[in-house]
Amino acid sequence: MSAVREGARQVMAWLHGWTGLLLGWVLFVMCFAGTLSVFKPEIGRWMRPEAAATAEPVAAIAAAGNWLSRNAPDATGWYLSVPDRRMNTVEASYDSGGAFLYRALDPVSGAPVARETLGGEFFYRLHFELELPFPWGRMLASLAAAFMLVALITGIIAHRRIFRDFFTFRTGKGQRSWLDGHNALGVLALPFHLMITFTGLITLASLSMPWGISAAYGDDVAAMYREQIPGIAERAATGVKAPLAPLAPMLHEAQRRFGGAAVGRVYVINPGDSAAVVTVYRADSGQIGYTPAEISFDGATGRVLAAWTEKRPAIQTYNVLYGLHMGRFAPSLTRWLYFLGGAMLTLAIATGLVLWIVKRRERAPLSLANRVLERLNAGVLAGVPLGCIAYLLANRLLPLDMVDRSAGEVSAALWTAGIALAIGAVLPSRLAWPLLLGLVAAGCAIAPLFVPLGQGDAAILIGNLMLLGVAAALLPLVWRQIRRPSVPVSRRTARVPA
Amino acid sequence: MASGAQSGRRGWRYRSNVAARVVTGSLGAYAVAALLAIALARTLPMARVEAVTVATLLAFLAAPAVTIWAFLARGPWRAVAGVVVVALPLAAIAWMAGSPV
Amino acid sequence: MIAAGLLYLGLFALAAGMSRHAPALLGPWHAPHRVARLPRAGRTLILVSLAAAVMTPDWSRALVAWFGLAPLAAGIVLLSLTFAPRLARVSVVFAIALAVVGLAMALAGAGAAA
Repeated sequence: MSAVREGARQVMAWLHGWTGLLLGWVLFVMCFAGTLSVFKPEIGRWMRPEAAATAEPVAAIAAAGNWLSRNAPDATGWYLSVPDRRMNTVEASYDSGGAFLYRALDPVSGAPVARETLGGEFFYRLHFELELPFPWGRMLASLAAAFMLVALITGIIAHRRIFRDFFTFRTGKGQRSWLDGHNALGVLALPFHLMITFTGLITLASLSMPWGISAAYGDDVAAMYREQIPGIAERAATGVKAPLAPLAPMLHEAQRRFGGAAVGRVYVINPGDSAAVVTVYRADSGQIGYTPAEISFDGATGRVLAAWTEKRPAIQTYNVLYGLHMGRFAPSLTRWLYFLGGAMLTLAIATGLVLWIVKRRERAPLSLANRVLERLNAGVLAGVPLGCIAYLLANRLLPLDMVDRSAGEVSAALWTAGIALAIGAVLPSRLAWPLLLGLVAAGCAIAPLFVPLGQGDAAILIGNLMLLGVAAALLPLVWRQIRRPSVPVSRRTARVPA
Repeated sequence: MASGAQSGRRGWRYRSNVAARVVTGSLGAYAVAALLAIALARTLPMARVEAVTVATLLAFLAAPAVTIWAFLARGPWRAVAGVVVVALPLAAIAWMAGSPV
Repeated sequence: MIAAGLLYLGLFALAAGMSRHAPALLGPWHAPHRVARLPRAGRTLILVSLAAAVMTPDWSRALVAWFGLAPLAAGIVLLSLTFAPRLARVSVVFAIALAVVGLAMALAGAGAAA
């Protein structure tokens, strides 16, 4: 290994550390929430145990449409997700009284289910918007993803013996063990990490790299969307009221045109207006590519306005990359593998952040800045899961008829995470870690108890098992942290190579 | 302890080296990516929306490459020069292709 | 399924081929000539498992699944290597069984269709 190569690796290791550290906590939140989002519909079912009704997808949309035309007739748009094997309710986003609402609609009656909750949508939004207002959340997520990509690449270049160390994991050796763990989590699932980071970056491309669009289209961004998705029909509302034609025939026609494939999304723009448009999208679960085909109907008459099946190579490439990130195409096993990959990435980030501290603590007493980081680590890495558990517990505990219930659940999550952050800041890390992780374990153990074990479908059962599993896995960890006396710091006097 | 202002890891020379590379690797990488997107979006011989898609995807591949270059180049000047050498022709192509609308 | 079994075998072979891990993983089968041949065998097995994945009709999803199975298989090898090397040897039997069952099912399916 030449001296230049050594120098290059050291530089890459330095860059890897800093790109990982600067937005590491943001990336932790994104990956944690993203991993949970793999099971977004299932989490939604876990959080709505009463909503067990099922119906044919077309009938469910028709029922939803009926309810919405009675209760949200002046909305600018109804954005509906069609029920499928994973999600039995219609997920509806619509505006009413000036605010955008998100409700799960019962597939038989069309009315919102009894337990108002964001369900898995909370984790999905947390993942790419970080609970920040538009567009700042997405821009921060985009920036973090760019940092993540650089961190991955520099990590690869910096790893001296990436193949020989492939199966190395030495326990009980302080920094060495943390490094082995961090490397294993990163390297073993490297293709996944690279794929999910790159595809994630491009999903936000219109926000983070809009220059190609503006270079070719100038100010007329709407033209770009029309050309990208030719099956939508954009037209302004006329202000003249007209009742919406029945949705069921439109859906049947769409399915016929899709060659029998299922319908995924139904967007009704300006319902109740004479210029209403109903756009029906083919399901994303049938193939890897996202948004494979769509068809638009005139809302008042049901006449076809536009139809499109994507065959252009460049657009299909983009759709496939988008679809790889969303993972909706994945059958059950692959979805669990996505979850595994996401969990490994989340843990890779967490171990990396811990490693930053452990490595420096073994060299010398921590500087003030690093002590702050150490406390932040405890607060964030344990506090974020604690917030998520609080979200699930709030779902079980908040009264069903509470006003703005979904916002209440989110508040519970954010407040808990905030308090955990404060605890992490105030308590020495030796105490903060077992305390916070212990609370997470306790929360996971309690959450399944609120629904009688017999009731509910597979999603609730599996969810409960996962929660109990997490609690069980955390307990020995917490126990070890409590029992171990203060870690004796062995100072390494020689300069440790990066 | 480092004695002179130019020696050791705290010297201004080291810091300016790092600073130059950080700026090149972040803003420079983004600028090159953006210029690449603009140049390709305007010049690729395909339908407008397809050109834009290809251009944007390639821009995302270019950006991290420039970042890595900024830190692996043999000196801060080479890092900056490398970025400029790539950015200028892209800017020229973009400007010459002109706005199509 | 064939792909999964073969993938695991391949990764295991690679691991065993490394001098550091060979004694632990191979136990009574440890012998220098075997150790030398393992890395190439391991890589071949991995490639064959990839081929098995893409030769299925739904190759795009199978390919994604293959990339997802790789960390799982590697992780199992790693964890058993670290904590229970004897278990690792036992798991090789399971991997072979998995590959054989997968092959049998594929052949049966082809036979039924023919």
